[in-house]
Amino acid sequence: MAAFAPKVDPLISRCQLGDKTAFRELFHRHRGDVGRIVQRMLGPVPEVEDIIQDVFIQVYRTLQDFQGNSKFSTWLYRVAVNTVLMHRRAQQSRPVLVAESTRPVPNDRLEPDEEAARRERIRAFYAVLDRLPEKKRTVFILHEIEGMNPKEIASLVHAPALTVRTRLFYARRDILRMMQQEPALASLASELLGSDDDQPSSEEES
Amino acid sequence: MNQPLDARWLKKVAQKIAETSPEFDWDRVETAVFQRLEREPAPRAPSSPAAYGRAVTAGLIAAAVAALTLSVSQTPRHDLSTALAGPTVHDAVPADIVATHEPQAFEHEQWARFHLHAPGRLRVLRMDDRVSLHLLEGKLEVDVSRRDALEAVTIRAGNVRVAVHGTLFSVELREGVVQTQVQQGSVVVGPASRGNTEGWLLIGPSTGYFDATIGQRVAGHSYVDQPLVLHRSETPSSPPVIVQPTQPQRDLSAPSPVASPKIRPPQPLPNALDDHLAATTLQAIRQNITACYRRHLPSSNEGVTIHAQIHISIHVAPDGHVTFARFDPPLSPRAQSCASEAVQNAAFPSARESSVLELSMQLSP
Repeated sequence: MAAFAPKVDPLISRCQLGDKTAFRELFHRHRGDVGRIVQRMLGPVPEVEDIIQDVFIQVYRTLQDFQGNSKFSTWLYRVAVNTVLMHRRAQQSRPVLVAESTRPVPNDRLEPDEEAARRERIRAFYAVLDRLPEKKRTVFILHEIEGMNPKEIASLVHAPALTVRTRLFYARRDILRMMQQEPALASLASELLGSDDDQPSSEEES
Repeated sequence: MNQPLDARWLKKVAQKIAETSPEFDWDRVETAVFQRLEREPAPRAPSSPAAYGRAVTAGLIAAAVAALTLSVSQTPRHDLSTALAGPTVHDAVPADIVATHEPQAFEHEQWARFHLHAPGRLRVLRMDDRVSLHLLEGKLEVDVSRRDALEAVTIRAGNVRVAVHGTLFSVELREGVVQTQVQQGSVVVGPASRGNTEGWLLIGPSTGYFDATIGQRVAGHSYVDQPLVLHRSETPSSPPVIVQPTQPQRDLSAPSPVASPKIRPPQPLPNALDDHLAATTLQAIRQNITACYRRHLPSSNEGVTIHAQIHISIHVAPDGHVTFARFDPPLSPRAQSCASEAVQNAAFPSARESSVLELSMQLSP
């Protein structure tokens, strides 16, 4: 029986041959997707652009491994997710500075700039997510924020879809528990939802 | 009307986050990516999928072995980045630089210069767009001019990790103490271990002393400081001597002890695990990591093979679960992910206290 070689996009084939012009085109075509997934997995941290660079360098190094057996976007996501996870592991091995500037500063002043306030709330939400174990955190972000289904996530994290669903269940439960136990987080949740009618808010009671 | 915090509500919060579109300076990212690509070796030429696993891989492995087998007969280079370049540096046995009688000076891509005093020994763990070194003995002076990447250079000495933030400084390992002197810029010093550790920011000019075993700061250390005179020569004074590392090797072929099936009366828990008590689990970890390595680094069929020697520190909680593990050096991303999972999933016997187990192993395809 004849074997069928998967068809690979000509642009990717050119990149695999070391054509940097083609790789530049690949970069332009996919940078938005890579930027979005890296940003959402890491949250608003300053090194996001560095990690995006790392993703594309890793793509360049390993593009030979892509043989067209899956969609290129799926393969690219896998590289991006793995790069982010490696970065986070490396971050965990780095010491936390004992310096005033690195300690959480209570934000007791109102930001006049609404955009800055919104960013601060997002940062705080990622701080909640950072309290989750890495596997649950990854699954939660990919599903709830990135909008992937468990089957897609399973192929990215090399785990059965059922395991992904289980991690998702426990991730949600843990986040809700953290938010319920800390009033500050519950109020953050209200702020994140803005003026939605169905938001849960302790302030609405009063 | 109030509603409890539930999954539906949480989904809405996540969707709010998803609505935010990230903004990047794509021109800057693109420029940086393609500058870095200029330093990358050309990718392997693809062929048919069937041939991919044989001829191309064999050529790649042969090239990697040639690049990494830095025998004494090869002419030493001043610029280690040339000698050590390659995408598989992490998978291979790292090279050592030894200053026996004369100091050794070298540089990397014109943004990092190093001066190893004699006697001294330095292991190069990584040297591409970032530099990671392990100071095994002696004193190393470092001059890093690059400021575009956080912690572009890291140096380990004992259990102390020094991360460089664009600076001029030295690290000296002596009598179980790591002395870090910063002349310009700043470095972060802390334990070379995972987890929630604390570090110290040294801003030049300043000096800090750290216990090489536990990675903690030592107050009022007694040995006398020498004035910090750093060598900022533009060209290396003498070529470095590169030798193969001399890490201790274990006989992996020897079978590890197997737990006896005999029923024994309950025994008090040991205070901590040792190699004997953890032998069965360590042997299982060895087998799983070897399988990971073989799965993700296929051997060629032309007799060229890559061996890697790694050391793993495994921290075990009293209930027997692994709290964290450190691989030195790390494997390639896929092999590392697989190996990390193998360690994380290991279940050790219980003990009264936490334990730290050391595992050295040689990996062969």
